[in-house]
Amino acid sequence: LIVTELKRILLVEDDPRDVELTLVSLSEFNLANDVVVAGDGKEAVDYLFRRGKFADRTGGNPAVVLLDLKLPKVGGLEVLRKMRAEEKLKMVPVVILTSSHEDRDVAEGYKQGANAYVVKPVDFHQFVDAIKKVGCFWALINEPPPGSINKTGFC
Amino acid sequence: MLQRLGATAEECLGQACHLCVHGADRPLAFCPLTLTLTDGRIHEAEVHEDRLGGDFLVTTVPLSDEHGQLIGSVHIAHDITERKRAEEDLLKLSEDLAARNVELEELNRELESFSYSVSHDLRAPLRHIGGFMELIRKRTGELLDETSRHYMDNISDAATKMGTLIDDLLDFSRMGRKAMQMGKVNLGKLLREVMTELREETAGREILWKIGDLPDVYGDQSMLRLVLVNLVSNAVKFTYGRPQAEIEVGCSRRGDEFVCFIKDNGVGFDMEYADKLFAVFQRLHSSNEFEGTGIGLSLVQRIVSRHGGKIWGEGSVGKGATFYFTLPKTKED
Repeated sequence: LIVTELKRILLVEDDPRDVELTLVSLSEFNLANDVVVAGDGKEAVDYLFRRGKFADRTGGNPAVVLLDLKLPKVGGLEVLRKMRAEEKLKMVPVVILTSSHEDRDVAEGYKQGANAYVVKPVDFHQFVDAIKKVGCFWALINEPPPGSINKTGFC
Repeated sequence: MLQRLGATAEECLGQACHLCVHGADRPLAFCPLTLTLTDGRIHEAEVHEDRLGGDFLVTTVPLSDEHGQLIGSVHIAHDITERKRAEEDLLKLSEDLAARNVELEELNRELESFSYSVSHDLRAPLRHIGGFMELIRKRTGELLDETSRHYMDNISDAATKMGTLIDDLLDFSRMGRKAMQMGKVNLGKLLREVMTELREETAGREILWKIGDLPDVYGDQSMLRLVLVNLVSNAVKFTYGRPQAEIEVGCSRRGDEFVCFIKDNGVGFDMEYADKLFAVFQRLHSSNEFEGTGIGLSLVQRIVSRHGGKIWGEGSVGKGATFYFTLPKTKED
């Protein structure tokens, strides 16, 4: 799966419409092609840990994981826990991207080692704006830990 | 005792307790008499006697002769049947209460998980409706006629409105569960902060403010702030269009509580609907006249009642409204 090599953003999102809106938002900085989408928590874990259909994945870790919380099979927090327990994935920046602004989710997210917590705005313009800023900062401005896929652009 | 025994005093006189009361030929095992005869001290025990249909507190007092030799004991029996019954009732009640408590906690958990789903699951489709509508708008631009564009605006507005409703409803449900952080709250200072917060709403408006002395109260600052925000912004909203808007805020002591009020000379309301003022999503004005979701006063009422206070409104159509709320004074006051 050569194509995945250069994907710097792992978007873990089960709702295809949210995926579409996120990609539309990221396309502004030509980041849409940098995104690989995992439709549930298990797929995300397989991708990150190079298991299952991603066993042969080459290339480094994503520069950032955009992680929804409510996911089929393996929940977002569980994905995060697994990542933080693994030496090679411990440092990968994780931005929780969710509809929930319940205090306990925010607290639990940070406790499990999230680097940022972004509530998806209900308003579309605000949503686009938030995704653009997140993508711009984490995929382009931020220097990812060693072992991540290198940047190719700027915003 | 005789009544319960169904005997006369003569029948009992001179008889040993175990024979007369229990109908036994020797003292019964539970009788404290045995202990008293062993150690020569006073003992007591609660005894249930079916023959008497009741409970008794039996005290046995040692009886000695002039040489200090133990020769027997005096039994004193207090009828404690009523007390025992009351105790049992109380125990039953508290067991019922505990069971009810478990039930309520369960219900609360359900409610919490419900509002969690609401916040998470209802938001996403709303974003999609608004988002894809926006994308259509971008792609079609001027291709669509004005009416079609107007319809698209309606759809987007409706989605936004529903988002606000969900947020308000969640705030309301959270307010019922949130732990209160009680402390001394300077209402006057809080009101000044709130008025600064509402600058946007009051910008360009001619409002005559009359602010009286406001006391220090004991309560949750962030909750009381919401009370003031909602009541003051209501006053600002409903005086819109008045040639000279007047908003008065004051507080007075009455017995062991403070009565605060916020009075305006706005559109007011019909006292006939006064009982509907505080119901969730209930509105007394159409959205065309005044915007709002109908949650503000419900939230205010919930907060005031969690502080142990009351809230009520007085008004008449076209002549303004006054909202009163009470906060109990604390020992410090």
